[in-house]
Amino acid sequence: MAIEIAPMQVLAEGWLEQLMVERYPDLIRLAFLILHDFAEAEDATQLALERAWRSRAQVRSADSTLFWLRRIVVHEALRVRSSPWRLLRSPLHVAEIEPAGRRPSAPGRTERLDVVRAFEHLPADQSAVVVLHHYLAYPVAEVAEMLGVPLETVRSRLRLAMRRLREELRDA
Amino acid sequence: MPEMTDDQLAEELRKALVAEALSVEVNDAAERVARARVRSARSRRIRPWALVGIAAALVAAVVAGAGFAAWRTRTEGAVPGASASETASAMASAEPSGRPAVTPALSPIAGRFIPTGAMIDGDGSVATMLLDGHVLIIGQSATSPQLYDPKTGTFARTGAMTTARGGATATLLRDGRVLIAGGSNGTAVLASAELYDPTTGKFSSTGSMTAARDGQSATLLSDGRVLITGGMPPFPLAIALAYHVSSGAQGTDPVAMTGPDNLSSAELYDPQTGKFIKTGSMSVGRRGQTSTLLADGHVLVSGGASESVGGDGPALSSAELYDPVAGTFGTAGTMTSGRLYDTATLLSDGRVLIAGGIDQSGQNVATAELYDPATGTFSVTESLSLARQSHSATLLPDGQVLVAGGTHVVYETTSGGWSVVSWSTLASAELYDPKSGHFESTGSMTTARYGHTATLLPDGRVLLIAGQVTTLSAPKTTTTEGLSSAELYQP
Repeated sequence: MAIEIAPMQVLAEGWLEQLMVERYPDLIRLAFLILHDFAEAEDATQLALERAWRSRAQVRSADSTLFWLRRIVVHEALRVRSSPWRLLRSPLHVAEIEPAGRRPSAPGRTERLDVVRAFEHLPADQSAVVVLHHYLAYPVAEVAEMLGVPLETVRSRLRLAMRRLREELRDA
Repeated sequence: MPEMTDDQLAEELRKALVAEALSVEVNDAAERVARARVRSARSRRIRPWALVGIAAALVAAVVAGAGFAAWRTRTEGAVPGASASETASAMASAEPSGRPAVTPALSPIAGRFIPTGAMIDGDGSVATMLLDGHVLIIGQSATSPQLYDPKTGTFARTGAMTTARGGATATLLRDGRVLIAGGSNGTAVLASAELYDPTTGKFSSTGSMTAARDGQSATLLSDGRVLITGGMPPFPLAIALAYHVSSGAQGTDPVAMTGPDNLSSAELYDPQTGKFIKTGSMSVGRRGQTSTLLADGHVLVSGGASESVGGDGPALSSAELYDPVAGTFGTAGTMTSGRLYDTATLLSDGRVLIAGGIDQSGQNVATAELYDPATGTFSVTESLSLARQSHSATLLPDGQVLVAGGTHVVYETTSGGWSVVSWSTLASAELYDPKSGHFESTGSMTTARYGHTATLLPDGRVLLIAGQVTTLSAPKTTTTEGLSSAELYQP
């Protein structure tokens, strides 16, 4: 049946700004997981919010706004991750040095270090699906919609990522 | 580390990622969000239409000749960080939308698209329904014409035109013949015109226009004559060759270029005499404008680009009204923004819905407005769900307007102005309800397309043909491919 949704013009712009403030930690952490670098995550999130604000007319319903915001952040983080100057640094180098902006260790961090390091070695496309599916718990179909790729692509990237993680953990 | 099951590995991974995420502490969210809001509103230096327009049509113009590829796009721009293959499929199918992941396509109320037969080749840019219900499709090459039979859902070749014509117009005349005028044959802009006779399936020459035109608009008047307005005039190929291509649509150095303005002149074709005669001129030259016959017989001409040599731009916001009795154009007010590659659709209540396109800064817009002939003014209505350009808009029998496909471009602010971040071809469609003034989503097309044709068939379905899709062929480069597929919208 037709879904009645309120257009963005009717919703106060203050509402969107408030949502962005409430969700900011969520969004910058999402960027951080993809970029492994706090400063870059800050920049990417900043750019993503600017873009989101400019295209706020796209927002059609309150309950899809978070999905929309996360989508913009993911795309921005992936864009930053693949920018030409960043690729000059070898991927391994990026993972081996302690990313800037790391805050004091969470409990049990040393035990999970191997998993984290293995995760940081994943290429960008696999990182994205792992973060969206395993961390944010989006079903595969919604991961596909957010990234704009076919369902099967998401599934195969997840398989490849898990296989790669296993191999690295085995070697560790 | 001991061997884990998939579930165990997934759980370890989840815990590790959560811990990693929580290692990020945030204290200044409100400040950062406020800064983003301020930055997003910062006025960007308006680039001359040079940039996207230039990069878009430049190489194509040089390679393919004058007005031939003016509507094709080959553009360069920054792309989202992703592998080439991922972005390729993202470009082809990505829908920047805030909607939840539900598929309304098969609900009994929402309409849906179904494929129909494919064209014989993809060369088709103008579709005209004939009196017998067949649809004539004409492309750039002389041998391009095809006929679609709605009963069988298939395409078949029909006669060849007298010459190649890209950017020509096709108009159904009262007697069932079709007037095809102007366009470019690859090296020159044409003034010639020809008639298609459905009873013989053949094309034959008729009188020539008083001026050579490419991308003009053509509208059948109440009295049976055809009003032709604007278009790009001929220009020397040397001008195209003198342009240099910027490093991409990065909003950097504007490229200086000169070329003749688009035409402000207009003429009338009289089917009874087979001749064109000049009529009053518009106030400004236009190409790519919309032209709509109103209920009272006047013609509303709006938007378009004032120059097209090397790329269309900038988009005009002015509109004018042609009076067929006086043979003159008068002002019809101003739209809320410049518009090019937008659509104008006459509604059942006599108003005209104008939607999407690109504005005077060269960026695509989601805004829509209504022209009311009673007041002679434009007013804003609800915006499209997302910015679209080169989409289609078709009035349905129930009074709603089907808006489908198009291109959606995402920009980002750079130090030099703005640059293109992503370029998506859309498959989505929405319906405008003039009674409520709202757009609502409907089913998506089976193929994403822009620059396609959309024709209402006698049975109430809409036939959508061909068009193009833009994909990523290499980093920072998008390529446009023509489509030969067709589909039907079942309301």
